[in-house]
Amino acid sequence: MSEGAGAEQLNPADEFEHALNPLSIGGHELSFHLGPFDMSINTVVIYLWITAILVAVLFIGLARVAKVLPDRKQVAFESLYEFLRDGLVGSVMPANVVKTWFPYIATLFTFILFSNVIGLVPIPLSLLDESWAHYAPEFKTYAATSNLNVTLALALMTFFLTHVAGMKANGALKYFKGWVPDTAPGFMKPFLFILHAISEIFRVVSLSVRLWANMLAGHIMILVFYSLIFMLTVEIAYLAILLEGGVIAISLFEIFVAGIQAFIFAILSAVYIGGAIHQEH
Amino acid sequence: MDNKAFALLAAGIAMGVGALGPGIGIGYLVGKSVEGIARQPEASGDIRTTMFIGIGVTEAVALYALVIAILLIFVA
Repeated sequence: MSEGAGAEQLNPADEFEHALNPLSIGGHELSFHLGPFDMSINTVVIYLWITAILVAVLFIGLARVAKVLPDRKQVAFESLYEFLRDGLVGSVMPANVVKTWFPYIATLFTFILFSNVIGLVPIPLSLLDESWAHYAPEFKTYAATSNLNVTLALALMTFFLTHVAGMKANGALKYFKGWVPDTAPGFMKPFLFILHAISEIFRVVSLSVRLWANMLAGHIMILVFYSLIFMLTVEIAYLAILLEGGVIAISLFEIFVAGIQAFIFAILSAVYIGGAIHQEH
Repeated sequence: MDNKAFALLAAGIAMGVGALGPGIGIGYLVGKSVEGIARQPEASGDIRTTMFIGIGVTEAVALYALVIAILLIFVA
Protein backbone atom coordinates (compact mmCIF):
# COMPACT_ATOMS: atom_id res chain seq x y z
CA MET A 1 0.00 0.00 0.00
CA SER A 2 2.98 2.31 0.46
CA GLU A 3 4.09 2.15 -3.19
CA GLY A 4 1.26 3.30 -5.48
CA ALA A 5 0.40 6.84 -6.46
CA GLY A 6 -1.88 8.71 -4.09
CA ALA A 7 -1.08 6.43 -1.16
CA GLU A 8 -0.43 9.45 1.05
CA GLN A 9 -3.79 11.10 0.41
CA LEU A 10 -5.96 8.00 0.66
CA ASN A 11 -5.63 5.87 3.76
CA PRO A 12 -8.74 3.75 4.45
CA ALA A 13 -8.08 3.68 8.19
CA ASP A 14 -8.13 7.49 8.40
CA GLU A 15 -11.76 7.66 7.34
CA PHE A 16 -12.87 6.26 10.67
CA GLU A 17 -10.92 8.67 12.85
CA HIS A 18 -12.91 11.66 11.59
CA ALA A 19 -16.20 10.17 12.75
CA LEU A 20 -15.72 11.35 16.33
CA ASN A 21 -14.75 14.91 15.43
CA PRO A 22 -17.57 17.40 16.03
CA LEU A 23 -19.46 18.40 12.89
CA SER A 24 -19.96 22.01 12.02
CA ILE A 25 -23.03 23.68 10.54
CA GLY A 26 -22.40 26.87 8.63
CA GLY A 27 -18.90 27.16 10.07
CA HIS A 28 -20.22 26.82 13.63
CA GLU A 29 -18.70 23.80 15.40
CA LEU A 30 -21.25 21.67 17.30
CA SER A 31 -18.98 20.97 20.24
CA PHE A 32 -20.69 20.56 23.63
CA HIS A 33 -19.28 19.38 26.92
CA LEU A 34 -21.35 18.35 29.93
CA GLY A 35 -18.86 18.07 32.78
CA PRO A 36 -16.44 15.29 31.85
CA PHE A 37 -18.70 14.04 29.04
CA ASP A 38 -18.22 14.98 25.42
CA MET A 39 -21.71 15.67 24.06
CA SER A 40 -20.58 16.96 20.65
CA ILE A 41 -22.74 16.30 17.62
CA ASN A 42 -20.48 14.15 15.45
CA THR A 43 -21.01 11.81 12.52
CA VAL A 44 -21.92 8.89 14.79
CA VAL A 45 -24.65 10.90 16.54
CA ILE A 46 -26.12 12.04 13.23
CA TYR A 47 -26.21 8.46 11.95
CA LEU A 48 -27.86 7.26 15.16
CA TRP A 49 -30.49 9.99 14.81
CA ILE A 50 -31.14 9.09 11.17
CA THR A 51 -31.55 5.42 12.14
CA ALA A 52 -33.82 6.15 15.10
CA ILE A 53 -36.07 8.51 13.12
CA LEU A 54 -36.25 6.15 10.14
CA VAL A 55 -37.11 3.09 12.28
CA ALA A 56 -39.69 4.99 14.33
CA VAL A 57 -41.40 6.68 11.37
CA LEU A 58 -41.40 3.52 9.23
CA PHE A 59 -42.72 1.11 11.83
CA ILE A 60 -45.17 3.42 13.60
CA GLY A 61 -46.42 4.51 10.19
CA LEU A 62 -46.86 0.91 9.05
CA ALA A 63 -48.58 -0.10 12.28
CA ARG A 64 -51.02 2.86 12.14
CA VAL A 65 -52.40 2.08 8.71
CA ALA A 66 -52.86 -1.67 9.33
CA LYS A 67 -55.93 -2.96 7.50
CA VAL A 68 -57.93 -6.17 7.67
CA LEU A 69 -57.14 -6.86 4.04
CA PRO A 70 -53.34 -6.36 3.97
CA ASP A 71 -51.52 -4.78 1.06
CA ARG A 72 -47.99 -5.66 -0.01
CA LYS A 73 -46.19 -3.45 2.53
CA GLN A 74 -48.28 -4.78 5.37
CA VAL A 75 -47.60 -8.39 4.42
CA ALA A 76 -43.85 -7.72 4.48
CA PHE A 77 -44.15 -5.96 7.82
CA GLU A 78 -46.27 -8.71 9.31
CA SER A 79 -43.95 -11.45 8.13
CA LEU A 80 -41.04 -9.58 9.74
CA TYR A 81 -43.08 -9.29 12.94
CA GLU A 82 -43.92 -12.99 12.87
CA PHE A 83 -40.31 -13.94 12.17
CA LEU A 84 -39.13 -11.86 15.13
CA ARG A 85 -41.82 -13.15 17.47
CA ASP A 86 -41.78 -16.87 16.60
CA GLY A 87 -38.41 -17.42 14.95
CA LEU A 88 -36.23 -15.17 17.08
CA VAL A 89 -37.74 -14.51 20.52
CA GLY A 90 -40.14 -17.44 20.69
CA SER A 91 -37.57 -20.09 19.81
CA VAL A 92 -35.03 -19.26 22.52
CA MET A 93 -36.95 -17.62 25.40
CA PRO A 94 -39.32 -19.32 27.89
CA ALA A 95 -42.87 -19.08 26.50
CA ASN A 96 -44.29 -17.08 29.42
CA VAL A 97 -41.87 -14.14 29.02
CA VAL A 98 -41.96 -13.82 25.23
CA LYS A 99 -44.58 -11.07 25.45
CA THR A 100 -42.54 -9.08 27.97
CA TRP A 101 -39.26 -9.20 26.11
CA PHE A 102 -40.41 -9.18 22.48
CA PRO A 103 -40.42 -5.34 22.25
CA TYR A 104 -36.82 -5.03 23.47
CA ILE A 105 -35.39 -7.79 21.28
CA ALA A 106 -37.35 -6.67 18.21
CA THR A 107 -36.19 -3.07 18.73
CA LEU A 108 -32.59 -4.23 19.03
CA PHE A 109 -32.92 -6.21 15.80
CA THR A 110 -34.56 -3.47 13.75
CA PHE A 111 -32.31 -0.72 15.10
CA ILE A 112 -29.09 -2.64 14.43
CA LEU A 113 -30.33 -3.83 11.03
CA PHE A 114 -31.25 -0.33 9.89
CA SER A 115 -28.08 1.12 11.33
CA ASN A 116 -26.01 -1.47 9.45
CA VAL A 117 -27.86 -1.03 6.16
CA ILE A 118 -27.83 2.78 6.29
CA GLY A 119 -24.07 2.39 6.66
CA LEU A 120 -23.98 1.23 3.03
CA VAL A 121 -25.88 4.27 1.72
CA PRO A 122 -23.68 7.24 0.85
CA ILE A 123 -24.95 10.36 2.63
CA PRO A 124 -23.32 13.75 1.89
CA LEU A 125 -23.03 14.98 5.49
CA SER A 126 -20.56 17.65 4.36
CA LEU A 127 -23.58 19.56 2.97
CA LEU A 128 -24.35 20.57 6.57
CA ASP A 129 -21.32 22.81 6.47
CA GLU A 130 -21.31 26.10 4.57
CA SER A 131 -18.62 24.83 2.23
CA TRP A 132 -21.30 23.24 0.02
CA ALA A 133 -21.28 26.28 -2.20
CA HIS A 134 -17.57 25.98 -2.90
CA TYR A 135 -16.89 22.26 -2.91
CA ALA A 136 -18.63 19.22 -4.35
CA PRO A 137 -20.49 17.26 -1.64
CA GLU A 138 -18.58 14.33 -0.15
CA PHE A 139 -20.62 11.15 -0.44
CA LYS A 140 -19.29 9.13 2.46
CA THR A 141 -20.52 5.91 3.96
CA TYR A 142 -20.42 5.34 7.68
CA ALA A 143 -22.24 2.89 9.93
CA ALA A 144 -22.97 3.91 13.52
CA THR A 145 -22.38 0.28 14.51
CA SER A 146 -18.80 0.40 13.19
CA ASN A 147 -18.02 2.48 16.27
CA LEU A 148 -17.15 0.57 19.44
CA ASN A 149 -18.89 3.15 21.67
CA VAL A 150 -22.27 2.43 20.06
CA THR A 151 -22.01 -1.35 20.16
CA LEU A 152 -20.67 -1.30 23.72
CA ALA A 153 -23.66 0.80 24.79
CA LEU A 154 -26.02 -1.71 23.15
CA ALA A 155 -24.21 -4.66 24.79
CA LEU A 156 -24.24 -3.00 28.22
CA MET A 157 -27.99 -2.44 27.86
CA THR A 158 -28.43 -6.20 27.35
CA PHE A 159 -25.99 -6.91 30.21
CA PHE A 160 -27.92 -4.85 32.76
CA LEU A 161 -31.32 -6.03 31.56
CA THR A 162 -30.13 -9.65 31.81
CA HIS A 163 -29.27 -9.35 35.49
CA VAL A 164 -32.25 -7.15 36.38
CA ALA A 165 -34.57 -9.67 34.70
CA GLY A 166 -32.83 -12.58 36.41
CA MET A 167 -33.07 -10.99 39.85
CA LYS A 168 -36.68 -9.97 39.29
CA ALA A 169 -37.74 -13.44 38.20
CA ASN A 170 -35.81 -15.52 40.78
CA GLY A 171 -35.04 -13.13 43.65
CA ALA A 172 -31.56 -11.67 44.00
CA LEU A 173 -30.10 -14.33 46.32
CA LYS A 174 -31.49 -17.27 44.40
CA TYR A 175 -30.35 -15.76 41.11
CA PHE A 176 -26.72 -15.45 42.21
CA LYS A 177 -26.90 -18.93 43.78
CA GLY A 178 -28.03 -20.21 40.40
CA TRP A 179 -24.70 -19.15 38.87
CA VAL A 180 -23.10 -22.18 40.57
CA PRO A 181 -24.38 -25.74 40.05
CA ASP A 182 -25.86 -27.23 43.25
CA THR A 183 -23.94 -30.48 42.78
CA ALA A 184 -20.53 -28.75 42.97
CA PRO A 185 -18.46 -29.47 46.11
CA GLY A 186 -18.55 -26.65 48.69
CA PHE A 187 -14.94 -25.51 48.45
CA MET A 188 -15.20 -25.14 44.65
CA LYS A 189 -18.23 -22.85 44.76
CA PRO A 190 -16.40 -19.50 45.16
CA PHE A 191 -14.12 -20.33 42.22
CA LEU A 192 -17.05 -21.35 40.05
CA PHE A 193 -18.83 -18.13 41.02
CA ILE A 194 -15.85 -16.02 39.98
CA LEU A 195 -15.51 -18.02 36.77
CA HIS A 196 -19.16 -17.37 35.94
CA ALA A 197 -18.77 -13.67 36.73
CA ILE A 198 -15.83 -13.47 34.31
CA SER A 199 -17.87 -15.23 31.62
CA GLU A 200 -20.67 -12.70 32.13
CA ILE A 201 -18.24 -9.84 31.53
CA PHE A 202 -16.80 -11.52 28.46
CA ARG A 203 -20.32 -11.82 27.08
CA VAL A 204 -20.42 -8.02 26.93
CA VAL A 205 -17.00 -7.94 25.25
CA SER A 206 -17.85 -10.55 22.64
CA LEU A 207 -21.33 -9.13 21.97
CA SER A 208 -20.03 -5.62 21.37
CA VAL A 209 -16.79 -6.53 19.60
CA ARG A 210 -18.53 -8.97 17.24
CA LEU A 211 -20.86 -6.33 15.82
CA TRP A 212 -18.22 -3.60 15.80
CA ALA A 213 -15.51 -5.72 14.15
CA ASN A 214 -17.85 -7.10 11.50
CA MET A 215 -19.13 -3.69 10.45
CA LEU A 216 -15.72 -2.02 10.65
CA ALA A 217 -14.02 -4.81 8.68
CA GLY A 218 -16.72 -4.66 6.00
CA HIS A 219 -16.39 -0.91 5.57
CA ILE A 220 -12.60 -1.07 5.52
CA MET A 221 -12.82 -3.78 2.83
CA ILE A 222 -15.07 -1.59 0.66
CA LEU A 223 -12.81 1.43 1.20
CA VAL A 224 -9.68 -0.60 0.44
CA PHE A 225 -11.17 -1.75 -2.86
CA TYR A 226 -12.15 1.83 -3.76
CA SER A 227 -8.67 2.99 -2.78
CA LEU A 228 -7.11 0.30 -4.94
CA ILE A 229 -8.99 1.72 -7.94
CA PHE A 230 -7.17 5.02 -7.48
CA MET A 231 -3.84 3.42 -6.59
CA LEU A 232 -3.55 0.72 -9.25
CA THR A 233 -5.37 2.13 -12.26
CA VAL A 234 -2.69 4.78 -12.81
CA GLU A 235 -0.70 2.12 -14.65
CA ILE A 236 -3.35 -0.38 -15.76
CA ALA A 237 -6.69 1.25 -16.58
CA TYR A 238 -8.83 -1.84 -17.20
CA LEU A 239 -8.19 -3.08 -13.66
CA ALA A 240 -10.77 -0.50 -12.57
CA ILE A 241 -13.58 -2.63 -14.04
CA LEU A 242 -12.35 -5.68 -12.13
CA LEU A 243 -12.01 -3.72 -8.88
CA GLU A 244 -15.43 -2.11 -9.31
CA GLY A 245 -16.79 -5.65 -9.62
CA GLY A 246 -15.03 -6.44 -6.36
CA VAL A 247 -16.63 -3.42 -4.69
CA ILE A 248 -20.09 -4.52 -5.83
CA ALA A 249 -19.49 -8.09 -4.66
CA ILE A 250 -18.30 -6.97 -1.22
CA SER A 251 -21.17 -4.48 -0.90
CA LEU A 252 -23.67 -7.26 -1.63
CA PHE A 253 -21.92 -9.47 0.93
CA GLU A 254 -22.12 -6.60 3.44
CA ILE A 255 -25.91 -6.46 3.07
CA PHE A 256 -25.97 -10.14 4.03
CA VAL A 257 -23.58 -9.51 6.94
CA ALA A 258 -25.73 -6.59 8.14
CA GLY A 259 -28.74 -8.88 8.48
CA ILE A 260 -26.79 -11.77 10.04
CA GLN A 261 -25.10 -9.55 12.63
CA ALA A 262 -28.38 -7.90 13.63
CA PHE A 263 -29.91 -11.37 13.97
CA ILE A 264 -27.00 -12.74 16.03
CA PHE A 265 -26.94 -9.73 18.36
CA ALA A 266 -30.70 -9.96 18.94
CA ILE A 267 -30.80 -13.74 19.38
CA LEU A 268 -27.83 -13.80 21.77
CA SER A 269 -29.48 -11.05 23.82
CA ALA A 270 -32.63 -13.16 23.92
CA VAL A 271 -30.62 -16.26 24.92
CA TYR A 272 -28.82 -14.40 27.72
CA ILE A 273 -31.99 -12.81 29.11
CA GLY A 274 -33.94 -16.05 28.78
CA GLY A 275 -31.14 -17.96 30.51
CA ALA A 276 -31.15 -15.52 33.42
CA ILE A 277 -34.94 -15.77 33.86
CA HIS A 278 -35.11 -19.55 33.54
CA GLN A 279 -31.92 -20.81 35.16
CA GLU A 280 -30.89 -24.28 34.06
CA HIS A 281 -29.00 -25.51 37.10
CA MET B 1 13.70 -4.48 12.09
CA ASP B 2 12.38 -1.95 14.57
CA ASN B 3 9.62 -2.50 17.12
CA LYS B 4 6.85 -1.23 14.85
CA ALA B 5 7.79 -3.73 12.15
CA PHE B 6 7.67 -6.58 14.68
CA ALA B 7 4.29 -5.34 15.92
CA LEU B 8 2.89 -5.29 12.38
CA LEU B 9 4.26 -8.78 11.71
CA ALA B 10 2.79 -10.02 14.98
CA ALA B 11 -0.58 -8.48 14.09
CA GLY B 12 -0.64 -10.36 10.80
CA ILE B 13 0.35 -13.64 12.43
CA ALA B 14 -2.13 -13.15 15.28
CA MET B 15 -5.03 -12.58 12.90
CA GLY B 16 -4.05 -15.40 10.56
CA VAL B 17 -3.50 -18.02 13.23
CA GLY B 18 -6.40 -16.73 15.29
CA ALA B 19 -8.77 -17.23 12.37
CA LEU B 20 -7.72 -20.87 11.92
CA GLY B 21 -9.58 -22.26 14.91
CA PRO B 22 -12.91 -20.50 14.35
CA GLY B 23 -12.68 -21.33 10.63
CA ILE B 24 -12.42 -25.03 11.37
CA GLY B 25 -15.03 -24.72 14.11
CA ILE B 26 -17.63 -22.90 12.03
CA GLY B 27 -17.05 -25.24 9.09
CA TYR B 28 -17.62 -28.25 11.32
CA LEU B 29 -20.66 -26.59 12.91
CA VAL B 30 -22.38 -25.69 9.65
CA GLY B 31 -21.54 -29.09 8.14
CA LYS B 32 -23.15 -30.90 11.04
CA SER B 33 -26.16 -28.56 10.88
CA VAL B 34 -26.63 -29.32 7.18
CA GLU B 35 -26.42 -33.02 8.00
CA GLY B 36 -29.07 -32.55 10.66
CA ILE B 37 -31.35 -30.57 8.35
CA ALA B 38 -30.93 -33.17 5.58
CA ARG B 39 -31.84 -35.95 7.99
CA GLN B 40 -34.76 -34.09 9.52
CA PRO B 41 -35.98 -31.22 7.30
CA GLU B 42 -38.94 -30.40 9.57
CA ALA B 43 -36.53 -29.40 12.36
CA SER B 44 -34.63 -26.97 10.09
CA GLY B 45 -35.88 -23.85 11.88
CA ASP B 46 -34.64 -24.93 15.30
CA ILE B 47 -31.36 -26.24 13.90
CA ARG B 48 -30.73 -23.00 12.03
CA THR B 49 -31.35 -20.90 15.13
CA THR B 50 -29.02 -23.04 17.24
CA MET B 51 -26.44 -22.95 14.45
CA PHE B 52 -26.43 -19.15 14.41
CA ILE B 53 -25.99 -19.01 18.17
CA GLY B 54 -23.08 -21.44 17.87
CA ILE B 55 -21.54 -19.44 15.03
CA GLY B 56 -21.85 -16.28 17.10
CA VAL B 57 -20.04 -17.81 20.04
CA THR B 58 -17.36 -19.47 17.91
CA GLU B 59 -16.75 -16.33 15.91
CA ALA B 60 -15.93 -14.43 19.10
CA VAL B 61 -12.57 -16.24 19.26
CA ALA B 62 -11.52 -14.76 15.92
CA LEU B 63 -12.71 -11.37 17.09
CA TYR B 64 -10.44 -11.51 20.13
CA ALA B 65 -7.58 -12.12 17.71
CA LEU B 66 -8.75 -9.14 15.66
CA VAL B 67 -8.77 -6.92 18.75
CA ILE B 68 -5.22 -8.04 19.59
CA ALA B 69 -4.15 -7.35 16.01
CA ILE B 70 -5.70 -3.88 16.05
CA LEU B 71 -4.06 -3.14 19.40
CA LEU B 72 -0.72 -4.27 17.96
CA ILE B 73 -1.10 -2.04 14.89
CA PHE B 74 -2.35 1.14 16.55
CA VAL B 75 -1.04 0.97 20.13
CA ALA B 76 2.27 -0.92 20.03
